[in-house]
Amino acid sequence: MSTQTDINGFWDLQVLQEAVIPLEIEHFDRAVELSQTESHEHHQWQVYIEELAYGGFLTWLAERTLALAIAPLPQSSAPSRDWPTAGVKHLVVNGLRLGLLVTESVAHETVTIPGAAIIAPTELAPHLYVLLEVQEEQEQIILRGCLWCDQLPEQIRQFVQPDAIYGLPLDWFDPDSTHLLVYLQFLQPAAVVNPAVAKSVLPPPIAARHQTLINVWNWAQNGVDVTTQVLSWSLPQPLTPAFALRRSPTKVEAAFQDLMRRQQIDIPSQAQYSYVNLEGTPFQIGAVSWLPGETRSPCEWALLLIVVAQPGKVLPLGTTLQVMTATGLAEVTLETTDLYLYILVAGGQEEAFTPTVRSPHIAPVILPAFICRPPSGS
Amino acid sequence: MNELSRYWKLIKLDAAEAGRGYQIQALPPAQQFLEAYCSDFADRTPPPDQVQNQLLQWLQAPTAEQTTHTGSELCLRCYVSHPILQSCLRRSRLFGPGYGFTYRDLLPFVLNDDGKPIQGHFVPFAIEILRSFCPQQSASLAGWVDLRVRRHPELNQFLLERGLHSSSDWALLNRANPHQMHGIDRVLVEVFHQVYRRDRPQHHQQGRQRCSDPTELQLQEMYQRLREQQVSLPSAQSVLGQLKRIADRLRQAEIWGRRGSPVTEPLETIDPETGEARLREVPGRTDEPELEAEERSKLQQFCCDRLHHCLEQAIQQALCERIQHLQQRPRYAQFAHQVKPALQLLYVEGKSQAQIAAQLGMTNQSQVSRVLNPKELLTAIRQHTLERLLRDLLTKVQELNLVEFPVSPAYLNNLVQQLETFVDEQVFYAAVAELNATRNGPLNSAFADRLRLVLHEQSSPVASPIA
Repeated sequence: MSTQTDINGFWDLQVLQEAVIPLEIEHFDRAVELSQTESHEHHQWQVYIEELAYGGFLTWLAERTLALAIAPLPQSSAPSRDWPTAGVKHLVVNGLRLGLLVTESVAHETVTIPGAAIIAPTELAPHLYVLLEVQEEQEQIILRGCLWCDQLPEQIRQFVQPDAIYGLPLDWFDPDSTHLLVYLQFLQPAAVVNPAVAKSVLPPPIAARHQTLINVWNWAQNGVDVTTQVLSWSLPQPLTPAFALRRSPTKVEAAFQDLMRRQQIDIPSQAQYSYVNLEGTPFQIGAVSWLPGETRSPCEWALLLIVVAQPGKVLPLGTTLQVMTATGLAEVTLETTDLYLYILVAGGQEEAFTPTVRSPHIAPVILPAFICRPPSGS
Repeated sequence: MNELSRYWKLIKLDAAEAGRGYQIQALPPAQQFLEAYCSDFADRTPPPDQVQNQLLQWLQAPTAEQTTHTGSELCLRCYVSHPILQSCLRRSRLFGPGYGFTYRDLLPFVLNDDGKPIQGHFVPFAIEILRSFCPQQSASLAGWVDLRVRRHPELNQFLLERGLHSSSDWALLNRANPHQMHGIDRVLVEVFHQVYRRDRPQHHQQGRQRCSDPTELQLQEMYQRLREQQVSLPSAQSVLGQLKRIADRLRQAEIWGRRGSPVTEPLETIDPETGEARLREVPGRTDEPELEAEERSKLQQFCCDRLHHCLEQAIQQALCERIQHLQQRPRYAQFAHQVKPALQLLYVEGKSQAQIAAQLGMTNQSQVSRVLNPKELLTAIRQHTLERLLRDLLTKVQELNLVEFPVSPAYLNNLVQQLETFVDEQVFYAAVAELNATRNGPLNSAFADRLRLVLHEQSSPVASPIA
């Protein structure tokens, strides 16, 4: 008997979790047929690829599980033409609504998803997104993973724009095909977070947030500002000389030190600083505020805002920090070599500064306005 | 794994066939060095960030004593080996599926440090990484490691040869996104899409699986369309040259992964966990309920009792499905009756794929892999084993009134992950390893035993029905 080394090359347990689905002639025939019915030549390729993914995925489901009730979305609730969800195919399996995200490459480890698929009318919104990569030339599709609707970051769900395209890291998708099959067989829709419910518990939208103000006057008085507390900012603390000397392990402090040392920004010792991690985004925002010395007008104040990445995250290229006042707007954008963004503003007692952080693929974050007002009567 | 133990546990290459490709080795000198440093912190362990900063400082300080330098370097060499492994796992996740290679194939390129003092000219990759790391310019050391692995020339060459090489230039251009390009390249790709994508489905139907070079007619059309958009090239042939140039760049970009300089690489997201089979961390649900210890031990015992029964049924089910599935396909129906004989030859007689093909009269590689494909069969059996165990377990959980029904996705997910670890340890890890190992004679894992048993029962006149 001869010695042999392998069957189909080396593989391991990881391979058992992957689903590489071969495409058959009938899948191609069907995809060609359906793409021909699309009147816009421009969209035909997209339809062709989506249908390949759809057909292959259905075959795979049928092969891997015996008793699944698979159906397209009911005709009455099928997305209409004015509900554009290009790149997403819809399917109901055992009562769970799936949104099939179809892509031709995941090499950049980013998955794009149209905003319309996230804010779809709730009776259509998918419970679960399934990512499929079509390798047309190799005649196969790869099931790249699945993601529950409530695992989408709150910031995206909250500020989603229907005509925008959002980029999600590939890492967010659970790549184990076993898990998907188990969900489809064992979960009842009643036990799954409904996209509608997921939305209703979200914090109030932007307009309501505009009403909140952070009063840095309270910081200077060592008092506690209620808004700061409610929004989970850190307790304001002074920038002491010790702070300036030690090599800080946190990025926001390191950024302040860099500004003082290299950009020669003079932050007086009475300055107070506080920071916040913006949930569902990679951003950490630091704010330093101070009232200038005796010689200047007592109603003047200064605010230095810094955007850094949260620990374990990175600022996307093109991130923009804006500060808006009643009369003007300052803006800086992250270039290749920057580690942080900052804006320094100074204003009078009546002025308010509203910072906004924008990033390609992340919904804009509008922070509460900063003001500096002594309590009335003082 | 204790987070600080990464600084004294080295991941090193292990070429043994049946293993996972690496082993974790504790290095006592590194451990002693680290413990001496930690002892300065009295009753608390210093945070990992602080430990790393200190080690890096000692390593890079020109005035550090030799013992401090060597000790800190050894600790950091250990640390670096962890993100190297993670990075290989991620690369293979991305490019492996469908191309038949795994992280094991990537490890030899980058995991070449054995923790011994450096001798001669050979510099392990881990040390190269440490020497080139500049804390002021990079997001984190783990991030820097990932970046260096992504840019490793030989590793990339391997990926090109094994994976992306199988994509033609035209497939790469077909799936390119013109919105990520600028200037003339963008127009070129848009025009290419208008013409080539339009014709491709028909070309595929005519039997051309591989995307062939654009025809003269297609090139002419592209040339005309480009002129209409004020892009003038000397000739239709030069359109071809331009497209090939873009394809070349796309191929590089796919290998390098995310664009951008080190600063913008979202690399810190890599949490260098190792020593576990779980490959990447999926964002956890915040309210994930943990199973209580007592509950867990009760359920574990239950699973042990049920495992072999479920496995046997899963084998029967998967065999039956495979045969049915082949019967339904005109191209493969004639081979449906050969599924069991092929498995007999593999699992009872230990024959190779080529020998099996010859013995059963198959000529075509896709026939062999369709009929025999032990990977697909093992995948299906693992899946069915999990499902059957899970079904039994959920009934049990309901009986014991341990959780509210219907169960939440978080609870189910937790349960499945524990079950997976259990069945893999008990059955599937060994089943996979023995298929990979060089062997001579029949296979002898617990899985192979069960499979033979089922094959034997089904070949006898009184076949047992599927439960």
